[in-house]
Amino acid sequence: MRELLNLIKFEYYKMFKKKSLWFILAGLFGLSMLGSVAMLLGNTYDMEGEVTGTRYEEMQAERKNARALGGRTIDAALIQEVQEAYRSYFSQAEEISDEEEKEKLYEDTVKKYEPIMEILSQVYTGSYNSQEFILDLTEDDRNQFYETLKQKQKQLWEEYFFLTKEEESKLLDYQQQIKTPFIYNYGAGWMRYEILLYSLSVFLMLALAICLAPVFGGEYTSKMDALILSSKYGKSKVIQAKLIMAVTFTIGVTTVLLGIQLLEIMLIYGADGWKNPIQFWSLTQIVFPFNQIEAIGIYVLCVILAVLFLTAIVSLLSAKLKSPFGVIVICFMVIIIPMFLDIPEQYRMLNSIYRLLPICMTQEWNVFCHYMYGINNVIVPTYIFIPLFALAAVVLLNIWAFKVFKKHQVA
Amino acid sequence: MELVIDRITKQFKNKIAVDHVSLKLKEGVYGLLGANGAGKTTLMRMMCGLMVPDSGTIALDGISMEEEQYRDVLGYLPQDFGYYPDFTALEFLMYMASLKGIPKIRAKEKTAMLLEQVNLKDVAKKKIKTYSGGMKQRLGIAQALLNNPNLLVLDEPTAGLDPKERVKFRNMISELGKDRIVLLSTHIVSDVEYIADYIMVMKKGTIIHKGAREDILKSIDGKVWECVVPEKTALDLERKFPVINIRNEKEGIFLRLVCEHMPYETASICTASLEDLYLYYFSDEISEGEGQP
Ligand SMILES: Nc1ncnc2c1ncn2[C@@H]1O[C@H](COP(=O)(O)OP(=O)(O)OP(=O)(O)O)[C@@H](O)[C@H]1O
Ligand SMILES: [Mg+2]
Repeated sequence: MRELLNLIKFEYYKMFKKKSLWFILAGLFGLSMLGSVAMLLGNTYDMEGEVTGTRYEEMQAERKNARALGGRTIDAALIQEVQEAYRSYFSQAEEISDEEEKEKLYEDTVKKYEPIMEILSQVYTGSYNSQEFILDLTEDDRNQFYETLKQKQKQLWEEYFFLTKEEESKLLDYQQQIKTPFIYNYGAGWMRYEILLYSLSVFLMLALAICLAPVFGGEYTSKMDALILSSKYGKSKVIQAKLIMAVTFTIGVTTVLLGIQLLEIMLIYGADGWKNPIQFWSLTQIVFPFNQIEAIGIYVLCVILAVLFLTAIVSLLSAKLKSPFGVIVICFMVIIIPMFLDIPEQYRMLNSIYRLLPICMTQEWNVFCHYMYGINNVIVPTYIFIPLFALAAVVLLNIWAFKVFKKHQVA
Repeated sequence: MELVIDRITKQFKNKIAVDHVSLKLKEGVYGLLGANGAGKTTLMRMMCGLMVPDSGTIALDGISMEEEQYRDVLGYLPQDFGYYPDFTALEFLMYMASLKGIPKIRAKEKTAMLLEQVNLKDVAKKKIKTYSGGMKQRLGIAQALLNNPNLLVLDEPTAGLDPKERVKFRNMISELGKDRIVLLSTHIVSDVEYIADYIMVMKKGTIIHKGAREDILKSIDGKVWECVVPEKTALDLERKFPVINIRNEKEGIFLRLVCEHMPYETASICTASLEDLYLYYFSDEISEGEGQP
């Protein structure tokens, strides 16, 4: 055990000796920081193109607005309240011709309901920013908010997805478990984090591919393979040490990076809304019964395992190929090509395989996807299948890499 | 202690690099002599478990070369020795010690001792990339000795060493050969002439000649001649017999050659050296080599 730890220490030492590694890590953390503030840089403009303030101020105003509604249950009573506010706004606005005055009226009467309005608009009309519909909502409509939502969800999956009967019935089960009524809270931070996770994963994978490509291949190019493989532990503990280093380095960098990212986002936007339903990401698209923090937890787990999957591929290629450069080239292709690839969903088989590529596992729309894995009645949703599949792939690829390096012929 | 190599064979595509070589080695220093491409490195790589032979086995006291126990008592210096340029010699040896499973405290002692022995103590904390070729080679020798190996395989260990270091190295090897098996390959005859107890001559994948240093020369004893001859005769003799040395002198051309009988009336017989033997065996290859551009 002590010997293994010592060997792992040396593997880390070899890696951290490279200056390029420090640049890559610094770049990665820089990018994550940029991602946190990217939406808050710059100014906001009015219709005429005049500066009205900074985007940071805008976010603060929105947050203040949204927080005033914090804790309100989205039910018939609230919908009616919003409806009345809009009715009063529209009837008064008709008589005002001055735009500025109209805007003042908007701010006084309905602006505070904007966040709720966005939700209602999606459910009743399918678009994000309709307004007029609210005037005509009947009492029945107001009472049936959640039925309407579920109806919309079902309609979407029936019309646009190529699901089996089993998948549809399973989706219905999940839908039943969604906790209603929703309680509204400001949740921009969680949503921002969710959006950032994917782009962050891309850079993370690219960076790790570069850092870990020499894990075995570097020994071939430096001709250390002869010394390593002829030494006592060269065909056992050293390989374990290398693989453990690659796995722990990946987990370490990933968790620290995602952790810092989360911290930054929470510091900027605030942690409110962690109990919000995952449906707030996209009301009609996601039917799983999670709140934001659960969903982020699952998503982060998928990202970590997807990144581990990628680094296991790196390890294997590194053991197989003659030089680290080839490893980097192939891994970049594995990461980048699928991002531009679109496999139509009607080819279910191909599409399902495509979704299991490391980079696809880090896409939110694949993690919480209607399509499931399995046969007949035994099916599991992607958010369960992805981590299981990635875990199995990581184990198998690592065993494979072990064997390849062990059998490497020095020539 | 006995290393048994049993009909070991390795073929690359259409070229047989090592052809059914069988050897039994006991404690002592063995010199493996052979021209470029004779198969020395290939044989040694198989002995170190770096290359799987097509057929045949290698075992040290019954332990096969594939086993960890075998590698535990093995020390190896590859022909082109790889290293980490950014490591210091000290770090490098400590790393090699951990590969060999040597506990840290012992590794520190041993490392200090070896650095002293190979005369790298003063530069132990400098990066290896700042080393000269000979210094790297000495570091390579040091790492091979870290685990106090019973079987020491050195592929052209003297390459790049200056005369002083060469002498030091020879003394070190003679000392080491007392209680272990040391196999070193070279095509520099003088390297093995003094230190090897046994000499093996390898050619085209097979061991064509082997024996104790004293015995091996017997095969050409009385066959080495020196003479001074006119230019025309020299050309004639050169074509007929393996010539070991040739130079112009006032009275004609001086020749040292190997020949079963007296090649020329003024020729005198002389004591054979290992170099004579080597050139005798490889004379065909040498002239082939000279013919190439
Ligand atoms: N990996 C390989 N692939 C193909 N042929 C090889 C390989 N390694 C060695 N050979 C061939 O096998 C033969 C023996 O090579 P080897 O390196 O064992 O010779 P050597 O005696 O060590 O020569 P040198 O004195 O130059 O080091 C050569 O003809 C060489 O071309
Ligand atoms: Mg060689």
